[in-house]
Amino acid sequence: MILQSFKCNLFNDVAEGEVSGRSLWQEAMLRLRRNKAAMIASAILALLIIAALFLPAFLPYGYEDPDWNAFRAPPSIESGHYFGTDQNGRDLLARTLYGTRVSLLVALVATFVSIVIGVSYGAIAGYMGGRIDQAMMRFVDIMYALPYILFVILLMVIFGRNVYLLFAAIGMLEWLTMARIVRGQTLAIKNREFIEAARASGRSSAAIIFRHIVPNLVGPVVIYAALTVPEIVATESFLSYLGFGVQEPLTSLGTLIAEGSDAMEVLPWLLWFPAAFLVLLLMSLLFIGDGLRDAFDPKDR
Amino acid sequence: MLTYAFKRTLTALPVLWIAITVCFFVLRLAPGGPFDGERPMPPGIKANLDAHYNLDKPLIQQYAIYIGNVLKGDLGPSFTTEDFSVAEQISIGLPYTLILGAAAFVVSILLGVLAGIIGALKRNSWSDHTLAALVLLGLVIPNFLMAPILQLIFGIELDWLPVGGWGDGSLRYLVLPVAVLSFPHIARISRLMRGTMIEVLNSNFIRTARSKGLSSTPIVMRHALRPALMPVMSYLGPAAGYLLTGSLVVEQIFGLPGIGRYFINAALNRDYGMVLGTVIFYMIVILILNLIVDLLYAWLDPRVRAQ
Amino acid sequence: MTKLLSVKDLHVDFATEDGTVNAVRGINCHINPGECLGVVGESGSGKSQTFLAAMNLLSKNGKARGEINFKGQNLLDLPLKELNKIRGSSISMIFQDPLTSLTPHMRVVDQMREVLKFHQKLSGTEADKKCLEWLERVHIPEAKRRLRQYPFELSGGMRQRVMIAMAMLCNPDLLIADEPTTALDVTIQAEILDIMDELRREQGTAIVMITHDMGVVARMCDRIQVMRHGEYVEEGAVDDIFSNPQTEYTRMLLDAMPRIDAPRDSETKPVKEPAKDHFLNVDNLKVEFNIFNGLFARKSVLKAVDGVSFDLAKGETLGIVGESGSGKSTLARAILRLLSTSEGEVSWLGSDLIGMNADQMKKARQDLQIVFQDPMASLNPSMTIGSSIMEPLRIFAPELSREERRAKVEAIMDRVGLPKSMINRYPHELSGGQNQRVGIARAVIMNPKLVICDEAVSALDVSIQAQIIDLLRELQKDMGLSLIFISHDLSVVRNISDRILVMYLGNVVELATSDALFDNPQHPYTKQLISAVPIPDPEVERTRKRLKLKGELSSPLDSAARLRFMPSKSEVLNNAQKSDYRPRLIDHGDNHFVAEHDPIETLLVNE
Repeated sequence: MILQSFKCNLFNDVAEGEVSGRSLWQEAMLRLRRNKAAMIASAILALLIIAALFLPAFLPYGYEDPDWNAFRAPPSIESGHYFGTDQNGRDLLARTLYGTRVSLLVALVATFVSIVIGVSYGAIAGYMGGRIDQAMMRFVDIMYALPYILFVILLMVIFGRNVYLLFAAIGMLEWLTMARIVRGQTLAIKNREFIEAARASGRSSAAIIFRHIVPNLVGPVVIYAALTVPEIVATESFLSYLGFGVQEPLTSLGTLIAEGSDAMEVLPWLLWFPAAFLVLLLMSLLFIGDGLRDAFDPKDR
Repeated sequence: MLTYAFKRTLTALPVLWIAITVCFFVLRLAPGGPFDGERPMPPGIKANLDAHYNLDKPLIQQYAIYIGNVLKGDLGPSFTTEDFSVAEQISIGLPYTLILGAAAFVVSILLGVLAGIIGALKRNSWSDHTLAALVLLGLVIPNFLMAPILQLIFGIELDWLPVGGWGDGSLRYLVLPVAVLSFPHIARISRLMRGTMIEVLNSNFIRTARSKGLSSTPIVMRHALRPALMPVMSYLGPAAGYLLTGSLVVEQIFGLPGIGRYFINAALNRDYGMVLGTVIFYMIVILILNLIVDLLYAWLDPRVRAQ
Repeated sequence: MTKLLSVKDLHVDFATEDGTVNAVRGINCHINPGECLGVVGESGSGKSQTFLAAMNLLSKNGKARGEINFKGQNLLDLPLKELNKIRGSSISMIFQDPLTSLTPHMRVVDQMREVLKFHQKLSGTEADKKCLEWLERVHIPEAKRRLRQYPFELSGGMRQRVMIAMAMLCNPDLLIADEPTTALDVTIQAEILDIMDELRREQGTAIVMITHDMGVVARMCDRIQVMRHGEYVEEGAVDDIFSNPQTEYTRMLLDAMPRIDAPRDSETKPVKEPAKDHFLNVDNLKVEFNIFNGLFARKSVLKAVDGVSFDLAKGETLGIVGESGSGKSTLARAILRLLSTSEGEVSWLGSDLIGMNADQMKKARQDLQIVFQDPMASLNPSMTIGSSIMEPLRIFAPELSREERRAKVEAIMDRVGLPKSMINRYPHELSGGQNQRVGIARAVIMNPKLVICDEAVSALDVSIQAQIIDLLRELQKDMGLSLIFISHDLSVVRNISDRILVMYLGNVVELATSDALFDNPQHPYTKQLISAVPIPDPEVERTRKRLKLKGELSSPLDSAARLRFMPSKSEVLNNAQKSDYRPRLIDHGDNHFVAEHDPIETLLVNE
């Protein structure tokens, strides 16, 4: 508490001459930029995304075309199969990049789904309060306690392995925590005095929600969304690994790893390259998420 | 305390019922059935099979029969494995899944909490950094990748441990599956524990305890541990679900004949009876674990107990 | 005389992300055995850090340099193991926030026992006996039962008593009290201070009283050390400093402190007949909350405001005082319809406010404004202060152009003493006092007729507090505002109000003009409140007697608690009647209203 007031004084002293202030958001971004791990991770993630999106166009081989001259070829620079080929002579680099693309796409769409469901559910529960809130949150508790992944698997089996269904199913799987976080934050903001101040100056409910509550939810939502992305990448690859996710001819990192681990002893590169991509992807996402959390909520960690 | 446990159990039962009902109807209403194999069956045989398994009756009646049987403890026949009923198969797979799950659960909590405490107390020391690196590995290497890596290192290269199977059921066969299953949870729990422990150690009542002249062991064990465990507790409920998810993969990779494998095979073959049976089993396990977590909560926080 | 503890050239630095902060910069001071030293200063003066450093309780990023000598040992150099033998035994400490300072999951007795076990190797019944003895010495009612309770089952005052009992277990030579009563109600504060005084006399324990409240110092201390910005300002005997402060800063601190025994310094307005004014009339207003403990649990009803009536005249300032749980803030929110009322009427300029539809209400809000306690929390952190102040303009004057709005905002900022250059700043970049000016600017930008100040100065340092009160007064004069000034601090309320309403558990117990209420209080509760407030004048303080009434401040959930001042009635009524009966307000003439009560002699604690 005391320290905070020191800090506050310090800010004032430094910034006395400036005219424009720095919002909490801007200060968080400044802190994030000072976080080396998060910055390196962002660079790696950017490289991965650019590679997944644009590199395949410059490769001599497509991800599903067999190279009849090179079955089970180990990685080599001369042959142009930098990551080697699989049992069907398909270029692993092309396949890995393609798989990364699919994994990222699933992550993006499913995160979006989970944000939409989680934020609206949590915000409604938090804003309504009382019994409605308690009932809604009890429902979330119950959902938490269900073997959700089994239902997703069932859905995938019953309705066919449809990529869009996969997006939705995984999004449905991940919205619970988002809903809890948003609800907690909404409750906290709702009870702050600036909401009462806005009501006292005659603001309508809609204006209060959109001008006063929503902007203050952005921070926690961004943080948790960033932490959700790696979860979803992992879940997708898990389902694909078990054979319930993305199917041939499409491929994802999980599918590639499943294929790779079957041939681990004879064709080790089939495992190591996709595995390295997945781990790198997860690691950079994780560091970015941590960095965002520390930037928005600078506690002593 | 007992009434509290009883109340929690009562609220869990309707959940179980709703989940079974939803599962039942989703499965039945979905296109395709257990006997839609590669080759279409002669209609007569299919009709016979349908009649045998009550599939020809109206859905509502099938549902009533099923629920009635479940209440008697009969999970019905398996559609693909004719020799065994669902209940019999589950009882065969049960020990493997339970032993694996329970061992992983206990190991995750113990090691996770311990690592978290060490990290918090020795903040920014080499042990904290080493633990952080291990935690990172646990978080970014999915279990289906961790499994082959460990198999390769400890099973094939070093030849210390068996790469799979149950063998004679000795501990050696458990080490790798439990390690793979618990590693990510050790990582998450220790991260959580470290964070909250640091927060708790900065709190006012710890300052009071220090001002009383207590040394660090009683401060951590008597004053800080219980409040710091609270967020870990709330993670344990979902963790039960995650463990189960993990066990699907682990049973598959290590060739353990547990319930996870039944589930996957049943799902792939649309063996309704088996799928429903395994789902019910899993839900009961998870609900029991959640109940235990709730009771632990009450033990940790006198305020919960007072309610 | 040998000094008990002496501090030599102490520096405390904190390493923060934004560089090093020098919290304490070269402090020298000492404490003699058995005396009470007051360490006074505003927030950020480093007064707490000095003694946290002595106890090695600084937060991790803090570093202390210099010397703190206690019985021939430098505490700063002592290894933790040796220091632990001193902490809790020869020197003990109590803290500001009793709510969070006890371990929540341990029973009182377990927390007390471990002190005895560690320092005196006492355990078992012997230890329990000692714990009980000390709880009784700090006058905890039903001490034996308290031993087995958890902190959350105790009230704030009781928790602080437990803290004191725990700190005294080993008969320390020195007790460091870090703002021990700041978080407590005045009547509880008075009791806690009495206990500490008693312990000092009986045990000879020296006390360091760290506080921002000059009244507490005058009440308790022999000597004072004044601190500011981590530095020593002046030091001396209490009487000398109060009667003849040597530095500008100390004088300012003393002057800024409002005194409950001083008549109001603004001119007294003649009391009109406010009821006939048709400005604001509140009649039998009730606010009830349903409390749910879980989804299926039975609800219980909390009567936060239970039939309050009063009138306010144009241009008048009405003070509302009461302790926590009195319903004073709820009353404010109910008048502004920020909460829904369950019964009663509010008439505003002759029309019924409660019955207004949304459009009418919106129009009325232009004239009805509120300023909140926590300046930070009352501003949207994601909006610049300029747009916060501008918000009412957007609603009530949408016809204005951007430039016109901006000009208005700049004008009002200037009026409340904020530099125009701050218009694009965010609340977290401003100090508490500046943020409160923003809150006031937002409230007065539409030229309202009534502003309710809900504890508007309670979170601020005294010097800032005085400035804000001056600002409110000026605005009132310029704009002809009426004010409802809600506070737990009687001295502040006396200073600013024309009339004062005293609330207890949702009911009015006394309503009178400011001077009449303080010079001639009628209700025992008012008397007790006034006698509990320490006066920043040691000479006066020594001669004052504190009133002690039977019973504790009870919870508003307890429906019989209203009859605390009418035990005679309580005896003759059955339970249902008890929860229905409300003491009536009786007119004593001259606009002085007092709730019925038993004679005060029957309510006093027998000593």
